[in-house]
Amino acid sequence: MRSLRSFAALLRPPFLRALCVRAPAWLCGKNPWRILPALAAFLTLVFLPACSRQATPADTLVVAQSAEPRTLDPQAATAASDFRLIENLYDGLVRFRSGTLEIEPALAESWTVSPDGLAYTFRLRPGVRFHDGTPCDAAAVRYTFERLLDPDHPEADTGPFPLAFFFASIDRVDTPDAATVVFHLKEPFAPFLANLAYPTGKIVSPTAVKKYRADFGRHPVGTGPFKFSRWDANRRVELLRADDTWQPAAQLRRVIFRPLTDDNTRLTELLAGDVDVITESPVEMIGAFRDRDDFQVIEAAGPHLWFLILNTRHGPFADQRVRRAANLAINKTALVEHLLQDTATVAAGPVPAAFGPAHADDLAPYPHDPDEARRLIREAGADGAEVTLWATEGGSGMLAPKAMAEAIQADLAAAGLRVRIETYEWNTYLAKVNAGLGEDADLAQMAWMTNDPDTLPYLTLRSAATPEQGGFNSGYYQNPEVDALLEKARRETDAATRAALYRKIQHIVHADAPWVFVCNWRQNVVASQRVQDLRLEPSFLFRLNQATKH
Amino acid sequence: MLPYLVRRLLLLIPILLGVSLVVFLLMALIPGDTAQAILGPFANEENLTALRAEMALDRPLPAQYAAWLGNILQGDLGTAHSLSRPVADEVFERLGATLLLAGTAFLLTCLLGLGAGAIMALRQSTWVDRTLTFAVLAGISTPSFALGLVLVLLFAVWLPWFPASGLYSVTGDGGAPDLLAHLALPALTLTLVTSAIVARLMRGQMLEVLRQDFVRTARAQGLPERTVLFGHAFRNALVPMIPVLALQAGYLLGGAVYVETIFAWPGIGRAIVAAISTRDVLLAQGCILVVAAGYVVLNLAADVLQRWLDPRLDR
Repeated sequence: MRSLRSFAALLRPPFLRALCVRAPAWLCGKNPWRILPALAAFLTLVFLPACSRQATPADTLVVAQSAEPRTLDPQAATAASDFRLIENLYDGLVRFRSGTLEIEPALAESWTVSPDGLAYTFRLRPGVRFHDGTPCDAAAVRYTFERLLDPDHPEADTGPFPLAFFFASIDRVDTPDAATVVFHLKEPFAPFLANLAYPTGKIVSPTAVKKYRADFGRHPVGTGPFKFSRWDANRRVELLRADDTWQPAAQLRRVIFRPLTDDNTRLTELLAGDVDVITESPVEMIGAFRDRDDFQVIEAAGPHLWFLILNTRHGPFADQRVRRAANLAINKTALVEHLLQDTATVAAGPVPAAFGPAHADDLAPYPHDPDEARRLIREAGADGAEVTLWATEGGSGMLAPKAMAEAIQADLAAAGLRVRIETYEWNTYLAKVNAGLGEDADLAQMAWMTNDPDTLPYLTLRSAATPEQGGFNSGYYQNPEVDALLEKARRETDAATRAALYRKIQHIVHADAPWVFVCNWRQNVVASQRVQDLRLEPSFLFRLNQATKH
Repeated sequence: MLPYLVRRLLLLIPILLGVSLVVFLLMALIPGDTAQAILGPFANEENLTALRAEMALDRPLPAQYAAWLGNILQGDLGTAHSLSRPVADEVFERLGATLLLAGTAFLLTCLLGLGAGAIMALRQSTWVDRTLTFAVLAGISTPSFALGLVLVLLFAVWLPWFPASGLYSVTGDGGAPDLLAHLALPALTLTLVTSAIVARLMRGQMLEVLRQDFVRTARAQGLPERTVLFGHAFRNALVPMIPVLALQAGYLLGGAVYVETIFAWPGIGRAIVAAISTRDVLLAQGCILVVAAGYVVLNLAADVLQRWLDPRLDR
C-alpha cells in the first residue's frame, strides 16, 4: 500500500507539470487569445490532412438504407432492406418483367404447366455457374427447395425460414436430368410462379450453404449480376460486378449498401454527395427533393394496400350500409394529397393496380360523400354510435398511421360516428389485430404488400380464414361467392381467365365493403442526378445491372 | 488501498447480476414479442409457436434467465437473432468504435473543459469570463442531436470539409487520416456539450481554491504566479473534478446514442436501441452489461485516482 502511494507521489509532480506547466506563460500574460492560433494549429494538424473530401467514384454506387441487413440468405430473409441486396446477388427460376408483376424466364429458359395444374416443368438455362464456380443445375434448384421445406434436410437448421409457407404447396421436386426440374404440387396453386420470382424463391449455391451453414447469410453465393465482396458489420456491404453471368454484365463495377438508420443522416449524406441513392425517405422530405434539379425522385406503384378492417361480426359495421358509409365518409384524396404528399394513390378495392390485368380498371374508388354517408348511418340507426379504432405507432408499410387515424376520426365524426382511437406499438399491434377484432374494436388499420393477386384476399377475406382458423380475416367477412371464386382462381392456370376472376372478386368485395379501401403506396427512392437508369420495380426492389453513373 | 480495490471489484459481480436481471425483466415487460419481431406480419400462430419453442421463449422467465446466466458463465453471450451473428462479435466490434469516439471526446473534454473553466476563474468578471460563461450556458442547453445536425449541415454539406457520417469512407480503403476525418464532427459534438458542463464546475472549483489560505501563502512566499496558479491552485481544483469527469466519461460511453445515430457511428449505444426495437434480448443484455461494467470500472478508477492525488481521503 505504502509503495503504491510513494509510486503515486513519484508520479504526481512530473505528471501535473507535464499537464500544466508548459501552458501558463500565455495565460499569465496579458493576451489570453494567444491560445487561439495554437488551438487552431492543433486541430488543423490533427484533422485537416484527413479531410480531402471527394465525391463517390463513377464506377461505384452507394445506396443508403434504413437498416443493417439481417441476412443475405434468400430463404431466411424477410425484410425489404435484405431483399434489395438479394435481388442483385441471386436469380430465381423466373422473375418479374421489368416494370410489371408479370413473369418472365430467368434461370429457367422455359416452362410448362400440366393441364391439371399439379406439375411445373422447368428447362434450365445451360452453363450457368454460381459465383463460386459450381454449376447452377437441377440439383441446386432441388437442394434450395428441400432445404427450405424438409425439416429433416441436413441443412434445415440453417434457418429459420419464415416465408417457407410460400412454397407449402410443393409435394416433391424431381430432377429427371441436370437441366430439368419438375415441381409436383399437392394441389393446384396458381400463385406458384409469382412466389418463385419472389426473393424467397432465389436459387442458392449448395456448396456454399454446406460450407458456411448458418453463416451462409453473411457469405451469400448466387448467380446474380453482382457477387458478394465484403460485409463490414454496421458499416457497409459491398457487391462487385460478376463477370461470367448469363445476363449482360452490369454497368457499375461496385455497389455499396450502407445502413443509415436515421432519416436525417440519409438526407445529409445524400446532400453531401457521399451517398448516391437513399431509400425509405419520409414523406416530408420527398416534397423538398421534387423541386431540386440535382436530385431525382424515382417512384413505383407497388402491390401495396392500406386499408381499415371493419368488424362485420359485431357492432355498427355488421350492417353493410354503415360499412359503405365509412368508405364514403373518409376523404381519401385529402389523405393522399396532404398527409402523404402524393406518395400514394386512392385505392378502389382489394387488388392493387400494380397487378395489371388482375386489377379491375373499371372499378372507381368510393367518392367522398359525407351527406350520403350520414344518410346511410342514420338509416341504419347507428347515428352517434361510439366505435373503437385500433391504430399503430408505425410499422412496415403503414405510412403515417397516427396522423391518418386522426384524419379518419374527424371524417367519421362528420358523418355521425364517434371514434375512439387506441394506439399500440407495432409488434403488439400485429398480435392484437391478427387475433381478430372480437368485441374490442370496430375498425383496425392494416397494410399488406404481396406479390400475387391471390395472397391478400385469400389470407384475409375468405370465410375459412378467420383468426380462429389460423387466417388473417380479422373482421370476419363472410361471402360464399367470394370464397368459391378465390378457390377457382388459385387453381386456374390460364393467366387471362384467372385475372378475370380477380376482377370479379373486386367488384363483389367493393360492394360488400368489408374494409375501407384507403390507398396504394407509391414507393420511392431519391437519387443524385449522377445516377441513371435506376428503375424501381413494382415489386419495390431494384435490379442494378442496368444502372449507370457519371 | 488494495483491500479496498478488491472489495470494489468484487462488488462488480452483484451489480452486473442486478443490471442483467433488470434488463431481462424490462425486456420481458415491453410490449411485442421476439418471435413476432423475427417472423414479421405474415407469421401465423403455428410458426410463432414453433419458433418460440426453438428459441426457448415458451419457457418460464426464471428458467430463461437461468439458462442465459449459465451460458454467460461459460463465456457464451448467445446469438443476436436480429443480426444472425454472435452477440460477442457484435458487442466487441461496437465497443471498439464507442471507445474511440468516447475516448477522443473525453480527452478533448478534459482539455477544453478544464482549460476554459480555469481561464474563466482567472479572468473572473472580465469580458473573457462573460463570453465564455455565455458559451458554456449555450453548450449546456444545446441538445447534442441538434448540435450534431447543425455541424453536419455546416461542415459536411455547405462546406464539404468533413464526411457526414460513418467510421471510414465506404469507397476508400480506410486508414488513420480517413478515420480522423470521420471522427471530427461526432467527437466535436460530444465534446462541446460535456466540456461545457466540466468548464462550469471547474470555474467554481478554481474560484474557491484561489480564495484559500494556501494560495495566499504561496503568493506571500513570493512564488512565481505561474507556480501558484498551476502548481497549487489548478492541482487542488482538479481533485474534486475527477468524479465529475468520470461521470462525463460514463455518459460518453453509454449515453451518446443520439450522436451515434446522427453520425451512423457503429457504436454500442445505437446497438442497444436497435436491440430493444427488434426485441433482441440477448444483444441488449450483452451491450448493457458491457456498458454497465465500463461505468462501474470508470467510477472505481476515479475513486482510486482521487485517493492517489489526495491521500487525505484514505484516512
